[in-house]
Amino acid sequence: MNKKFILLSLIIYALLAAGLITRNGAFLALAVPVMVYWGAALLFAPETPQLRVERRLSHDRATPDQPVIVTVTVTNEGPLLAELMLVDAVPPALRIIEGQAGVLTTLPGGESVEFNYQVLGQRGLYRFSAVSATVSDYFGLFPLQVSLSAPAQFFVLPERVKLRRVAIRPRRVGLYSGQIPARQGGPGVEFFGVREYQPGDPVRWINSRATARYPQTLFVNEFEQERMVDVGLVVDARRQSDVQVGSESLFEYNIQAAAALAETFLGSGNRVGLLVYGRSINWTFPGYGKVQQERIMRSLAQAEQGAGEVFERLEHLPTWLFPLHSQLVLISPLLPEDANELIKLRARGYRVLVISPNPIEFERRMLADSKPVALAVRIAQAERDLLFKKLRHAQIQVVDWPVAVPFYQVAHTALSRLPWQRG
Amino acid sequence: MSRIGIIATTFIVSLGYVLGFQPYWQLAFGVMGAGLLWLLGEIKGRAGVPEAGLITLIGLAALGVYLDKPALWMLLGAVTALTAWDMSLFLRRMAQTGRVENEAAVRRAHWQRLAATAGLGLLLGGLALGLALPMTFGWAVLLGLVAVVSLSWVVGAL
Repeated sequence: MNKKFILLSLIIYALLAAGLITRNGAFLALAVPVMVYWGAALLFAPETPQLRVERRLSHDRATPDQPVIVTVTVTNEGPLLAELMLVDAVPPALRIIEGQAGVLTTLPGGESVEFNYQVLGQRGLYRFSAVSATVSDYFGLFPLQVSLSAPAQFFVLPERVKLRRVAIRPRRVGLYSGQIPARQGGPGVEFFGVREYQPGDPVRWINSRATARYPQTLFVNEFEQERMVDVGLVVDARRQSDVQVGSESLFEYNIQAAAALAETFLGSGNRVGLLVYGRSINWTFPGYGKVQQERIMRSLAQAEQGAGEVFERLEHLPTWLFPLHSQLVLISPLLPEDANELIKLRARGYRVLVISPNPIEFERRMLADSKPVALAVRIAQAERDLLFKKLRHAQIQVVDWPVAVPFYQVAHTALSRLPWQRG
Repeated sequence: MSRIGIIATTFIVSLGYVLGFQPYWQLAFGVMGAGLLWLLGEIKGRAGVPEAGLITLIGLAALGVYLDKPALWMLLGAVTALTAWDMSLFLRRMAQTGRVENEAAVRRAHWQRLAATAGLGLLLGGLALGLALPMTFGWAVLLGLVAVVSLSWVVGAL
């Protein structure tokens, strides 16, 4: 029962009561048009509509600046619907940039109505569930609302940044060939050493200088094998490590870096797994190629920050997910207490690379220039430098990323060559 | 369209108050004031204004009937008030939806139904005014109770 219905009923009751009290028939006559209106609405009150709905999305994956067109088609499989109002439930985080997410129409039996609109969203997974259909008589007195299930979803994937090369060199390498030097002689590009000729070696590998010194023996050049490696990407999604400035979050930079690194490592033939470490553990099992890239991108699209007591510190990082001596890449602004955990990882034999979006620079951009701010920044930066020094001393490669600088530039400068490391 | 209906209602009901042997000018101005407020609220799109306008104008029409002013004018005023209120809500509903598919057909269908209903209401109301059935107070109470009970029954059945 809606407000219109109650209002009209009250008017009818009031006029009838007035007519009875005053014994004046004109009051009853005044109630007649209202009763006729009420009766007409009741006569044409709708029954449960038989509607079929179909939803189409122009893309099932999009980038943050790519609009997605949502098209909804509703077919009436029952009798004429005098007034049909369709309203699509658009996920609140999506912004409609063109069109309307609803329509009002008269829909005869067997006919269809279609409406479409364009939406734009930030990184995430967006699920559409149902279209609300309200049918009513011509006067809107007896509306009947039904929910028409039309599920669909699409991902807004993180921004893609192309990196030229990311140099890593873990101790453990895989069986398949790749692009990472394997510290083993064999077919490859880089010179590795000289050994005695073995039947089957190509003639062009013969080292003439070494052979000339020892006429009785043939020597051949050996090259360093290149293999694929296991890479574990760890994205820090702990709320306490994030910095929010207005609507901007440093966590988005973590995601951007993770997406770029995943694409680069997978593009080089490596096996990559992703761990989002925040309120809980979100693990994308390691894999190769484009399918894995899609999995990682979808996982990153859905990644959210969270605060959980268990995962407050890195000590609960599930290292059993990563093969020993493999490459770990942690993307985190870093907290002071993280240093010890990272050093422990290094001690266990993992190669650790830390990409650290700089929270100090990020926050400073929004602060006015003043002496106390400058001093605070200096102190915070000194603490951060000290933390990095401690990590580098433990043979952990750390890349400080001032987020005002594009990631590809930082990666090109800091990651295209390997730093000198032992073991 | 709803604004025309509001103006027509105001005009008809206020005219009803000044017709006849004893014109009630103050009440006629009161009706104009109420109509003006309704119109202003309608222009500004305020929520609840159409409902308040309908109750006020029908109430004023009923008061006119009580004061022995021409009942036909008051009936006409009540019908136009009902039409204006319906149109106002219909147009708001359409505006809220944003997009109306086949808008001309939807509007035409609504107006046709509304015109037919209002016309029928006016006709039956006019006939009711012309009818004079002598009945005792007991019969009147009985019929009134039947009307109230049947209306309640219909409401309860919904």
